[in-house]
Amino acid sequence: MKKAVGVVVAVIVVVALGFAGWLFLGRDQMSFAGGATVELAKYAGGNVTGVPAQLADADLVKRGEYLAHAADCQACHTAPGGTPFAGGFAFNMPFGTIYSTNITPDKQTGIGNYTDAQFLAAVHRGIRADGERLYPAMPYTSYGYITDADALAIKAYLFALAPVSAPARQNKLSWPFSQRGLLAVWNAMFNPGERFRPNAGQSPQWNRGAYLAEAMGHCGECHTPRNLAFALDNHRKFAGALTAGWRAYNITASKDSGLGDWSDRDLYSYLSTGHAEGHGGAGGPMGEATDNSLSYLVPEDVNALVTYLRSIPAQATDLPRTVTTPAPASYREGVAVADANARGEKVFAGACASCHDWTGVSPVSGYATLTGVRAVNDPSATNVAQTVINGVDRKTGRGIAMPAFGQGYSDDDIAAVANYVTARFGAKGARLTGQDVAHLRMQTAQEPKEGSND
Amino acid sequence: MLTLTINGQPREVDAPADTPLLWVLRDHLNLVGTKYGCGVAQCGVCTVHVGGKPVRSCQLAVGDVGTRAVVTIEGVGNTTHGARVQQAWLEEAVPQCGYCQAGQIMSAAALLDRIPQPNDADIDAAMAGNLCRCGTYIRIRRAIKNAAAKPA
Amino acid sequence: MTDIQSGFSQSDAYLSALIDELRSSPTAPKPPVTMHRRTFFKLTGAGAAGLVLGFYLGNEARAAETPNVDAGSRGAAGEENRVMNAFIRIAPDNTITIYSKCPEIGQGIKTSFGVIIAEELDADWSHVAMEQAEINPKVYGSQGAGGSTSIPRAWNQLRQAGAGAKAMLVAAAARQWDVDPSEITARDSILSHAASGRSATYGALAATAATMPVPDPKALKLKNRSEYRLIGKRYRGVDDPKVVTGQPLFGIDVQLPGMVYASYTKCPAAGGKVASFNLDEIKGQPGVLDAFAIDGTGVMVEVMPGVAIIAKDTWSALQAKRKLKVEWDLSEASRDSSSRFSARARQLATDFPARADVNIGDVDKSFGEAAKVIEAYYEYPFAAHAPLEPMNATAHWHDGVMEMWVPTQQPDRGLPLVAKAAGISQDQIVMHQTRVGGGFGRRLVNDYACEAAAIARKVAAPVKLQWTREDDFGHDFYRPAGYHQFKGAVDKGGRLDAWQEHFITFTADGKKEASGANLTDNLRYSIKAPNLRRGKTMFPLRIPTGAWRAPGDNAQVFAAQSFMHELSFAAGRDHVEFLLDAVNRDVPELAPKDQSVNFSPRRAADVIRLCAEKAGWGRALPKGSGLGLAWCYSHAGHVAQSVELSVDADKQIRIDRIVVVLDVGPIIDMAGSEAQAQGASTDALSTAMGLKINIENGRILERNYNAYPILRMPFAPTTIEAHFIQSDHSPTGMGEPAFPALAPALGNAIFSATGERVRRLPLRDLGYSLAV
Repeated sequence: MKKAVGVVVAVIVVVALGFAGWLFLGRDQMSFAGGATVELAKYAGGNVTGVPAQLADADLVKRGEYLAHAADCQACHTAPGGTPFAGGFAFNMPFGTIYSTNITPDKQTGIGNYTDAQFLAAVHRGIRADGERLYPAMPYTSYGYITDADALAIKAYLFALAPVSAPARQNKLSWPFSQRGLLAVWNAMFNPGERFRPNAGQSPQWNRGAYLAEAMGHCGECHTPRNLAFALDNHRKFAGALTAGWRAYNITASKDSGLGDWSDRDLYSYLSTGHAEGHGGAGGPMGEATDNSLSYLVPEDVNALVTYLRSIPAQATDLPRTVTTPAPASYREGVAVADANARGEKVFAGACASCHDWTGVSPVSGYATLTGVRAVNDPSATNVAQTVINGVDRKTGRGIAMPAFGQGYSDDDIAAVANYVTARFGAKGARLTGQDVAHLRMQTAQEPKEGSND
Repeated sequence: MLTLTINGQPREVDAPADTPLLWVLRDHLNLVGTKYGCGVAQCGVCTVHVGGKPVRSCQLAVGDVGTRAVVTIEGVGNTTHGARVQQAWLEEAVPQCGYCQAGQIMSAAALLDRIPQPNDADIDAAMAGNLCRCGTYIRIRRAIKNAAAKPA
Repeated sequence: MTDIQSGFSQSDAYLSALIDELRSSPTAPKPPVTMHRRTFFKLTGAGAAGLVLGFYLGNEARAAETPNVDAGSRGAAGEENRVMNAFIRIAPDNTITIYSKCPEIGQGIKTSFGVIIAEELDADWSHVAMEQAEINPKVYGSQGAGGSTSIPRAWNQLRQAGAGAKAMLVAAAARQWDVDPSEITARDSILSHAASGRSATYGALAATAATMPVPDPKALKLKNRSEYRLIGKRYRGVDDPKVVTGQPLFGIDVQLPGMVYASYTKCPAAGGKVASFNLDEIKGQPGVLDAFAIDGTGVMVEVMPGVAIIAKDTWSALQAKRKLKVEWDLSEASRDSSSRFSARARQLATDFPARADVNIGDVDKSFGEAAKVIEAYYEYPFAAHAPLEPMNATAHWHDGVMEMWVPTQQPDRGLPLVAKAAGISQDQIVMHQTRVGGGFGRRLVNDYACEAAAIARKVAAPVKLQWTREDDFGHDFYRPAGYHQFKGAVDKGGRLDAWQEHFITFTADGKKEASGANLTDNLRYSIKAPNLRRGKTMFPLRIPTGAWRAPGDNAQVFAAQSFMHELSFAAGRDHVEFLLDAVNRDVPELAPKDQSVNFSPRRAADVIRLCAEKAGWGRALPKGSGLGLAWCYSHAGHVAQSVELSVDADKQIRIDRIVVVLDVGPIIDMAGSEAQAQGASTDALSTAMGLKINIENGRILERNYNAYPILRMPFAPTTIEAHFIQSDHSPTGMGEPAFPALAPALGNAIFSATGERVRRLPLRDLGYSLAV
């Protein structure tokens, strides 16, 4: 009997250790490529970190600016409509809300007193100047790959900004998540804590892409699913995940739900402008990533990203292939009877059809075309609903805007129109309820904006 | 310099390609019947026909018009359905303040071009994007049916 | 610059006075005998043009005070225009031109004014052309449109003008034909003498008529209602042919040679000032000609601080505005929060203030002895006007003159403000009146005209100021939110016995209610509880409020008429009988003190009874269906409205029927009046269902129609039945009365259908929607 118990315990321990090990192995973001990695200095393809050749001779602040864009510090460290880098953006998570902090060089409320060592500790290891742990909303498991030189260039740029007095907003976290000390354990487990190591078997372009995607752009923080411990599960690298109320889609080579059908040109266009003909445009957090980060990259760097993304092994998901044919011109036709909902149709007719047309092919702008858009072909309708609630306000190019309907329309109306849009223009109609929409709203809610002209 | 075909006439326009057609019509061509209301395609007062379809001119960049013919409220009376709709609007005394009516008429004329005998659901689908702050919807619906009933 | 608080109080005082005037304006027109002979002036020297008869319209006192104007003393046509506020011109070709001095804002006044004159003139309506008069308050007196006052103010003058002109034509014919004037009949712009078989058109007689003496208005016999041939018929709007073909009519349509275009950006939190802005960047934007900050007067109804951008076209101005980065000085800016107001009001509601504003009878005694005592708390939000034509104005400073084109409801009142804003004298302003793309009370304020004038002083060209829709939503004079704690008692006979109301509202100056935020007198006539106590609590507010269609009534009637239904239900009474009881109650303290207030219990009872009859009151309705009825006395109209509906499990409301019954005296234009009744009911439904303005940190959160869901076609009723009780009472306005009672009728119907009481607007917040 005792023996049997012992076996059971042993099995549990082995399984637990195995599981923990599996989780642990999942932390390496670039292991999928196989092969050996080398120290930066020993990589034969030259330096794949730092700024591109065009900026090699620029001053430190200028180089830091490029790298700060590449690392997209601004998107998270800026409240909607607020001063860039002054913090206040809300991350609404199941266990509470975390606010980003002020990283302007204000000495009282910003990072003006940070030494180089303190700055590196924060970026690489998630440790604040006062020794407290940062929540991993700060993507230090990715930023850990950034070289010291690049991180300090970013610091130089941030320190050249005008200091803004903006005290940190109080996080609202439930116990035990309010206990920052517990993060030490999490970090020990999930933060590799080592700088970027090029893959000796890959081209300089691939390695540059890897550095930009993993160290700088931290793509995986949104696009890679998380495990039970809320760490990235790189066994399913870039397979798509739900992050902060928005779905970051599968960006692996999968033909069904990933980028397998996208041409290099599509990818280049999407990354550099936030839009690709036939695939739609970036909204939500990806729109911000484009506006604040990707659109600043030089063409060589965008191409490097394309190269790297192309190498990600396909991951299957349950998302359907996108429908690429327009819906019929008449509202009377097109939606399967089972998916027809009168309210959705009427709301669409009033608020949406003017730009999106009953066909889904916009008569006014390619940016407003719904045909072929991944979000519209996502039967969860998460991003469709979020876009309806929050609108689109893109700065790239001449600016792309869709009004936000969250204030003017009820949860039921938004659910109805999201269901209608996915049914009419996508592969499968969603079944959102008003309650689902209320839940989605909560996840992207931000404090009212201040300081803008509006 | 862009060349547009507006109400059957070629018109030269010297405006940046990203200027919305609305402002080209109003400020450059002095065709002020097409109105500005919201700038975000939510009110419909800027509706014109482009290539035979109702389009919100506040959202369409003039550079994207291309060779498609543009018809505005000033010219829609030269079309069969446009003339019928305008006549029906007078017969039903539709306008109150009148500001939205150019857009309403353009949407209604486009509806009749597609569906000459629209039912209520057709009218809802075609007219839902045109706001009327005065609440003339009852007469708009009646006028569309009146226009549809006019002898060919 | 005025400091912001005093500027804010000043602005509010201006609007409060305006609303008071509109509410208390003579709704029962002064009897014709008070008309002065000098109401009419024949304009000789224009004989070649036929008969040109000038007359004063609107401001009787001023007409009487202007003795230095006399018949025959005016020659040049231009001068006539400055002297006469309106006139009838009968040309030899028999066309009749009538000038209208009041703004056309969609209320149909330009049509109705013509019909009234043409009726007494016995004109052929198809030959009548209506023109808009220029703006000159020295001559015209009030030229505003608001408060549904245009018709009652002008009724007698217009009729006498028509009758006077006809008398001169008849006199001319009598002389030419050498017959007795009493034997001459007039019809369709033709005079006939039956005995001799002679007839002539007005046009043919006009030149002779111009030589006839001006009749004494007192001697003119006006028609009885039974004699009307034009009044009460259906008309289309006189501008409709231009509207449907897109001709330039509206303020926004003004285009002038060499014109430039301006945007103006003010602080999103009311009262903020410009500290600095990115001038160089803005000046470098494509198409931008200039940019500058304006301190303004610091008075909201004039010019608040902001940044003007001047560009070669509107789009360039609006694009540059998007790039504008202003550092605002927020030290005196609003920090108001509508959600805080709402929460605080709820907390305070049951603490009746120590001092009552009204205390009639003995409320406490009634509560102690009553058969039923109930309490309820009602609340409604701020609202924006959002007319479809965004605020705009065109101004041209040239030759020492500020020439302006303004779509406004109050052009005359704009003049002194524009003069102040531009630092010029009022005489230097020439203001042209354009058609107005929706008013609803927003354009009683001329802030945008003042801004245009202030900008034009700095620009050497005509300049059109164009607000964006976001500007329009963000810088309105809002319908104030309101919170009502009611306590009511019903006596053993089932009659309303006591009414206690704690009204929680807003103050701009810390002393009295903000403009549009006081309880209207109208409500007293519909409640008439023998024991009445009212008191208020006021929150300081630094967001401007103002007149929103049927000011006060538009929301207070919802609260009061809903609570009346709660009381009748509690008493187990038939609601119509309960309302009639309250109407017919004789409570001397609640009788109108101003003789010009035309409230009549009989007229009120008649509209309620007819509405009940038309609606099929008392029928058994299927489960889930309900019929609600409410009434109001508003803007001199007596109105009852009913809504019949059903509500499904998802709180979707299917409206089966809406009935509106109005007594506004005789109807001038039946089509126009039906349009107003239907339009106001639709507007009220739209507002009750979905509209609200939220304020946080002094900023308006709803900035365009995507956030402010005005009812759209698929959700709008397909019919609304309007019935008019026409009477010999003087006619009153139609712009507002059909708004207030719709929302309580809707709420009462929902209660009847579901048992759930609607005590908060909009209904969207309670989970209701209109069925599709």
